[in-house]
Amino acid sequence: MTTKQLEALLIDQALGELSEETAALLEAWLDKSPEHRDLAGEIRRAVGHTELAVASRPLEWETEEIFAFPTPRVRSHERWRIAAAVAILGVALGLGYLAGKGRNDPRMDGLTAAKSEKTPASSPWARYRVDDKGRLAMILPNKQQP
Amino acid sequence: MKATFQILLTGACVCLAACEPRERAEWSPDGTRAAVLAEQRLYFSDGEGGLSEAVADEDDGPGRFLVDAFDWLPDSSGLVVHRVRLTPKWEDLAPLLAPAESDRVEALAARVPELLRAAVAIHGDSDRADQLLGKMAPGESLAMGNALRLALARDAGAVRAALSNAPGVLASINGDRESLGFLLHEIAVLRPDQGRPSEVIWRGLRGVPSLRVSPKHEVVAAAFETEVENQYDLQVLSFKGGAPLSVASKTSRAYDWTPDGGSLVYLSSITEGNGGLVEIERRRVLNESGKVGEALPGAEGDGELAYAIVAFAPRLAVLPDGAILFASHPAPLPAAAEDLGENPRLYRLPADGGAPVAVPTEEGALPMDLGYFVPSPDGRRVAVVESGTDAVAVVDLESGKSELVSGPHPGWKSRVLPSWRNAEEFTYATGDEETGRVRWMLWKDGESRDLAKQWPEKITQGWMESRKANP
Repeated sequence: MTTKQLEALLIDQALGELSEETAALLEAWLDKSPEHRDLAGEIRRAVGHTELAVASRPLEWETEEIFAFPTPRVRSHERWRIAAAVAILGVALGLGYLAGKGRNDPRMDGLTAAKSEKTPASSPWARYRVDDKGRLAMILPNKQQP
Repeated sequence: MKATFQILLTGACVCLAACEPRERAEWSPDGTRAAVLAEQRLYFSDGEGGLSEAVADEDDGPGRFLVDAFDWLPDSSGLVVHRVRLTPKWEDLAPLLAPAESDRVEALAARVPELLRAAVAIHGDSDRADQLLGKMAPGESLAMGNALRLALARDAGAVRAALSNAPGVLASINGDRESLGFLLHEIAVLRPDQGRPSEVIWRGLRGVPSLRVSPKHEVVAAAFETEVENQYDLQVLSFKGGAPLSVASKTSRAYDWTPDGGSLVYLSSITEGNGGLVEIERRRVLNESGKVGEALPGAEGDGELAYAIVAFAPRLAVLPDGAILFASHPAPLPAAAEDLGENPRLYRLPADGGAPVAVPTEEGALPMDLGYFVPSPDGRRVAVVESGTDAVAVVDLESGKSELVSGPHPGWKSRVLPSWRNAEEFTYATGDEETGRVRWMLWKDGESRDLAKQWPEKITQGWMESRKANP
């Protein structure tokens, strides 16, 4: 069984889409394969964490925003995986990328910005934010050198 | 959350080849000369700033070619290049294509007026006819472009009649008429020192955004465009020609050979788009003799190695010890908002397995779009640039210590990846605010010098984007 197949089965199990018989077979197989048991544990932990993140906003982005991406040809559990993976990315990155807007920007209503104090003021690299039209804009770096 | 997805989509669109750093000036493995790409022509530069004449853009075939990408042969005797052949006549180009591809163009050409009417009805007017048609058949842009030109050559009146409701497209056709030509993609081996014409090993209508030569064998890996943007078919081709061997589908443009030259490590997106959640896989692609077979031979150690989160252009490199260097955003969940780091980090994945280990850089030492880095030949350091400025840094992969080498200079954005001449020196591009020139600098031990001072300005001008800095 490949890692992808194992992941798909574990996600189905988490969603309650696995029959009792299949779940029992899966557990029996994992019992005989310690390395896969460890991997399954990692996947289950990641699935559990992501489910919490997805569950925080389960409906308002499921339709319109999903179609902001090229429309995937997916099965039900893959759609969930994609949604969960995007949620992981969105939570981790969206807050960071919105940091440049600053907390007092009125255009930030309803959005949360991560603190920008973590990035040293002397960092030469550009920082990014999203403008009103949703375009990725670059903020010039703080430090400039001749 | 809606804005977050807009960020992701916009970020994916930003990272097109035209607006990101890529290989344009690359040192040969022995460090004696660099291949320089300027205005789709190849030149060679020695180590002291000399520049050769442009490599010939014609051979005994029809038309001329425009070079798009290249990689050095491991013995430094030449290059494998991806180029686009442009010919004024379809009758000259068609015989070079596989019958199925030339038949496809003929079939499309016969339907161009219908397709244009449908495209205008669906998408409205546009600035360019080929882009409008391309929306009707994603992944077949070149076939559609050739079909459009063939239709114009055979019955321009019918094409123009189909565009009666699209004045923009009609104007573009009228304006471009004289510069139209027929195109195909080629991968060829070029050995300039031998005085022989280049040897074509593949031709077709699919784009090839990147290629990498095996470090040990006469084999090249190439990513071929598909109908889905930012998804590619990774294949290997022998220098002797023959059918490409498929390694993986739906991969990104990020892949590299293992040091033994027999396996490929590549990034595949699990989420749709350019990046997002990716998996790192390794596959043995050559048989024991180093030849391209009819199927992947497979080996112990093949399979998925790790997962990562990539915000911008995916990229990885295999180091001399077989470890895999890649960038990822650290995202341990659940976490409080203030605990989430803003920036991605570099990670090393051991060759024999195990967990990825973060390179211990300080927060802010690496760019947010960490997708443009090049390791030194000895694997000890990595040169880093970004798409948003012309800043350049070098990072020690063991200690994580970083040194800002150049920039950023207001208004300048690099479009050139650094290139290591040897383990101690690398070249990069930077903008000169006083003269407005783009300089090509050689760095060593904290000092840089301009190697392109005597070059015509046109050679380096396309290597950076510039705009007037805001006062």
